[in-house]
Amino acid sequence: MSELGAWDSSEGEALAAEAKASSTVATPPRFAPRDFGLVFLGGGLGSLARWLVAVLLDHTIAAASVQLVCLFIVNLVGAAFLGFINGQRRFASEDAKSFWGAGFCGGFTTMSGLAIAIDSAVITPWLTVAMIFFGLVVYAGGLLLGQRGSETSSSEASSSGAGE
Amino acid sequence: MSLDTLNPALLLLVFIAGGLGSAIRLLFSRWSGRWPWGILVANIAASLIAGMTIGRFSGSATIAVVLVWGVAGGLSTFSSWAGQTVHLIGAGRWITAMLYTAATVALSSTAVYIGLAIAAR
Repeated sequence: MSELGAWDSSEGEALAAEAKASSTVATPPRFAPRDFGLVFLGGGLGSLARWLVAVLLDHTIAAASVQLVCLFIVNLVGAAFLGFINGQRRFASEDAKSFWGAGFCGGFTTMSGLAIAIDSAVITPWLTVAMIFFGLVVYAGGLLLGQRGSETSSSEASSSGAGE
Repeated sequence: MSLDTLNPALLLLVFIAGGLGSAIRLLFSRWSGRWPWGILVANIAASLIAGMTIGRFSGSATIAVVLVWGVAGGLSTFSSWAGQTVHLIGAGRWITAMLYTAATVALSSTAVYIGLAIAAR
């Protein structure tokens, strides 16, 4: 079960084909008790890590900008990491995607925090647009980095296998 | 927030609350048609919870941390929105991607307001 639910990165091509066919995204995500356990553990750790980032920032930077800086750090780092996970073969197993993707990255990043920041004018409209834009950019960058890393490791494995 | 708040009991509570929020999000994520409704609704619900908590429990730092940073933070997700939107763009569905983004941000921030209003009643 990935953080994207039925929207796995591996479904990118399927999505394109599906868009042409005008049908629905059909593959139902797996919902075994094991998935809930892994998402619970990963989400708990991610949420705890997000809170710790805020607490530590509170001691290092001016109080007025803690919420803003924290939001940028957790959301952009979390989005980049999720992209990497979805592109990297090492995280291809359902268990890894449940723990690191749906769990850790989902728990580490926050949309409700962004909504609170918008309502309390902690984040300006332009900074909101910047977070949205860079959120997409770092996710795509993480995805490409993960895919490139997978290709490199698989080509290294095949060349070392050829030498045996 | 200060380092004084880092007691083991509160750390454990944030962990459990964040885990529960994330597990509930997993249930929501099943709801996905041509739009990723599940994550959209999870983000809106989390924002509503956050607004209600801030309005109702602003005097209790512990409850606010557990519900806002734990439950609401675990239930909502920025990374999943980013992933879904990138894949929508990759599939050439630009309008859906823009509408999904606008709906997520506008409805989530509106939900915080509604939560605050409910708590004030």
